[in-house]
Amino acid sequence: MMAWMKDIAPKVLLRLVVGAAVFFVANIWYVSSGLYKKERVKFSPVAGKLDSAFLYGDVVYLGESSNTSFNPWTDTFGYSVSEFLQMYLPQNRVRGVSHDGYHVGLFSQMLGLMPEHWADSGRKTVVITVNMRSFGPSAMFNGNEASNQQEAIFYSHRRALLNRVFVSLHHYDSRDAREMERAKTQWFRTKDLRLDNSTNGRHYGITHGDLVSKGEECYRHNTVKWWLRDLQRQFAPVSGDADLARVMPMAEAYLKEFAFLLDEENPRVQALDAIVEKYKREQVNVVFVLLMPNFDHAHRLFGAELTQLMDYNMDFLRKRFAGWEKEYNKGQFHVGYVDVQRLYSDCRLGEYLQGVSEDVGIGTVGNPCFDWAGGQHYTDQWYPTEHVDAHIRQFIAQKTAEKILAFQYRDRIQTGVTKPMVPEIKPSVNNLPNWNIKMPLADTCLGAWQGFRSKHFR
Amino acid sequence: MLFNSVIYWFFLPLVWLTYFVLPAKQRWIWLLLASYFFYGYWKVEFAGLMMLTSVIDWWCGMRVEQDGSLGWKKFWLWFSIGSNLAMLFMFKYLDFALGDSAMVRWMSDHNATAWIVELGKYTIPAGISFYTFQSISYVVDVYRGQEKAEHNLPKFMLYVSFFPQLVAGPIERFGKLHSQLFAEYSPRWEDVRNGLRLVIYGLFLKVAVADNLASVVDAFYSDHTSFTQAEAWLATFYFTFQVYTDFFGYSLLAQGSALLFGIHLMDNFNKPFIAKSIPEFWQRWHISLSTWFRDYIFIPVGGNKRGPWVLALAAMLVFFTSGLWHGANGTMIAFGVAQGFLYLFDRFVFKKLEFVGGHFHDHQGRLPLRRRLWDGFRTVKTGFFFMMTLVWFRSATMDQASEVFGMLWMPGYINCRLDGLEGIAAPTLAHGLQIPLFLCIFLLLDLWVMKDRADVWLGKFSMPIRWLMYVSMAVSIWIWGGAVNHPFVYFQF
Repeated sequence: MMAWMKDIAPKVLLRLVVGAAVFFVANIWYVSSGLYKKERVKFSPVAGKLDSAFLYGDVVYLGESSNTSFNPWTDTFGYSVSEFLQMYLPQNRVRGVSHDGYHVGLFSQMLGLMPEHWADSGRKTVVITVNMRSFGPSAMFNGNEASNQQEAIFYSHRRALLNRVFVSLHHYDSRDAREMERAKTQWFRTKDLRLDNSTNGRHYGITHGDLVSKGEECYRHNTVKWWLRDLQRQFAPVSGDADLARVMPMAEAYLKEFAFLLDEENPRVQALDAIVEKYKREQVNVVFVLLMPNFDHAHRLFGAELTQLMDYNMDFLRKRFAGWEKEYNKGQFHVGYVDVQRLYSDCRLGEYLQGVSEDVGIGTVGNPCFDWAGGQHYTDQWYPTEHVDAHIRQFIAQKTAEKILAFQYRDRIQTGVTKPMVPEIKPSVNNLPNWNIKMPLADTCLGAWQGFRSKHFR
Repeated sequence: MLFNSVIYWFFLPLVWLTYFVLPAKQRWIWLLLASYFFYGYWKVEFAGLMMLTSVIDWWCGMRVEQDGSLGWKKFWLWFSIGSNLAMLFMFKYLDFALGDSAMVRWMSDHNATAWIVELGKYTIPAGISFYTFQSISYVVDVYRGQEKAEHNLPKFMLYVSFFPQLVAGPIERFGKLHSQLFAEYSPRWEDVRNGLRLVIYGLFLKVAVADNLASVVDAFYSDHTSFTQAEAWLATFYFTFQVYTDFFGYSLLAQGSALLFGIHLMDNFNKPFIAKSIPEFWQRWHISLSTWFRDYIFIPVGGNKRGPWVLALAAMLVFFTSGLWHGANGTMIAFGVAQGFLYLFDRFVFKKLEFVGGHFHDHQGRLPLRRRLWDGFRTVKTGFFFMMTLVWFRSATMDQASEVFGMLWMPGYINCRLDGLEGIAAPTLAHGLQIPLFLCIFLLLDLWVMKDRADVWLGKFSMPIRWLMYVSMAVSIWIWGGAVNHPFVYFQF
């Protein structure tokens, strides 16, 4: 051993041991003084709710803002999806944990709080809402993501003081809003939007002046950047039009939120895989609820060019879920998924064909199809969110409950007939498809926009 | 990699241990690899850029030394300076310089030149201003004959990239750092001990003091119109000490980390808030940068030997460059220019008021009360003026800076508080007692108690007291560390 080592090593080791002992004692004090409990509530408001949900719940519903009634001024029937779910599953204890801006990446981390052998105390199910938009660059490189990741530090059973140290030393994806903005811009600039890698997609922003109409394929945009630039260029001469000016920020937001293509490298897709792996290990059933983006408004803003991308992404997720559903159909562990968009369209179409409802709120003016719900069901009329009215929230809960009950019947946990305890929802402002909705619909302005679009975006 | 990150605390011991286990002659290679890993941890491209800078300056340094004619020496010198500044300009200032002009829009629409605009929007490589200045100083020193050129490229690369001082200084001169990097050295407990002391005190300043202050300052500047005049003053005061403790803490961490390898870096701060004038303040604040500007801009332009006009010109040039160095933003330029005017004000106007303070000594050789009061006034005045200029430093835009100045000086100038609206709570700057407590402890230590650098000062106490202080600092970092995600303020430069 080198001479210096003999001198220095014992001293350094002594300090390490003392440091570790101090850390151990400080940790005990930190917990016993109640400081950790207070800080956990401060830094991670949902961590406590998660503990409680895993402790007392048979069904844990992990959701984001669309779980709740997001617009208390217009959505007067305020039950959340998880509350509806409880009504549909009276024999189960349903616990909902939701927060704005949460996504499957966080839900995957939340599993860190799931107790070991949780499923031993009876068949458990976790419902996870999947928001396609949250797989895109705007959500992934959101300025609030650092704050979400800071919260996620507390989704683990490691030593309390270590969690706090990790907060102080920013041991999480702590990129600030500026860095996130850069990453997002980089994505917009570089990620190819062509579905088939064809050569049809050219830089519309550069070459459109030379293009003649050869069908829609000619006008595809390679990247979000070019699409946005093109949009701004087309909009500039008509920027004085009040209706169009009102729609413009919304149009930009739809592009930024939905114009992307999912692939296996997407971190949120990988988070989905991690969730299934974890539940498989723990033998906890999982139901994915694939939320329904506002296809109607997307179509009226950009036509098929955008909705095809959205469809591609939805199908990407559907295939994944359907694969899992099939794979884990027979054993003790089940995966299910609720495809809200398809189920809702089928349901409304059925009603329409039976003549039950003449005005079912699927097709809107200029969009007489049954592929998606009408834009008026969304409480955010000027921004792409999945916040839906009580009618659809109830529908989501109903279909989710059916899926969970199917698992329980299959496992013989549930044998009798389950009678939902759902109160009768009386038609009210925005509770049911109600054409007297008073909230500020984007319809009028979107009508003007469609005229503009058909003229400039052939 | 940041000093206040978990990964660094695995990286540092590993590098340190391996460094001394290796044969003495090969240690520097390990240090070079570690430094490039440290820097490339952010982005590998950044390491490539630093390598390019190193290669150019290494080559230019040799040419400057070896070429016989003065003309060629000058050519290589300016080639080196020009290439460094060009890189700095491209990555840091291009976006600001182009702005949103018609030219940019035209360039954006033409693929042939669009890459230039894109480059301007690329992430600024961490610490580019620091290592560029360090590298420039080497070539200039070789040109002046003060240093011999380094002929070994990897060794020169280590001088540029030595990780403790790479991203935020201190900006070391070649002569001082190079000789230490390659000297025969066997680790000494005194260095390790002092290094650890600097590290823990630096971490305390950064995590417990600066990051806590940042939570208040960030809350204010994210929505300044929602706060009151008193809160504007509080945020301005807090920011003054946030930026100080942040950068001072970083410098101590750099010094401490380097000391573990037996390398002594220069002190970057020397109690700036006891300075009685702005010129003195800048001799105590960010000393490595101030001396760099002094040696490579102020003195070559004429310094204080060629009369007041040349002095004024040199000073304004230094402070304008300093502002620009701090960031590609109008607010930073305003900060620099304001410092320049304050410097000249102290130098030419306030100096004439010295008679107000009276004599320097009474008949017993002590400082008279009148002089002490006058000095106290000057100290407060200096700190206050510096604090005011920091409004530009912290504001995102000139508009925001103007509004904050309005809020500070004109009651009711702007206030969009949402008090009274149902369901909407007014924002508050209340962030717990630990913030004023830690700030008071720091001010007490910095302004009155600590007469030496932290490592020396701590060494003067008996072991129980010293360990009590270590434990207090460690617990403060662990339990009350600021939670706001705030990288080192100077890291962005």
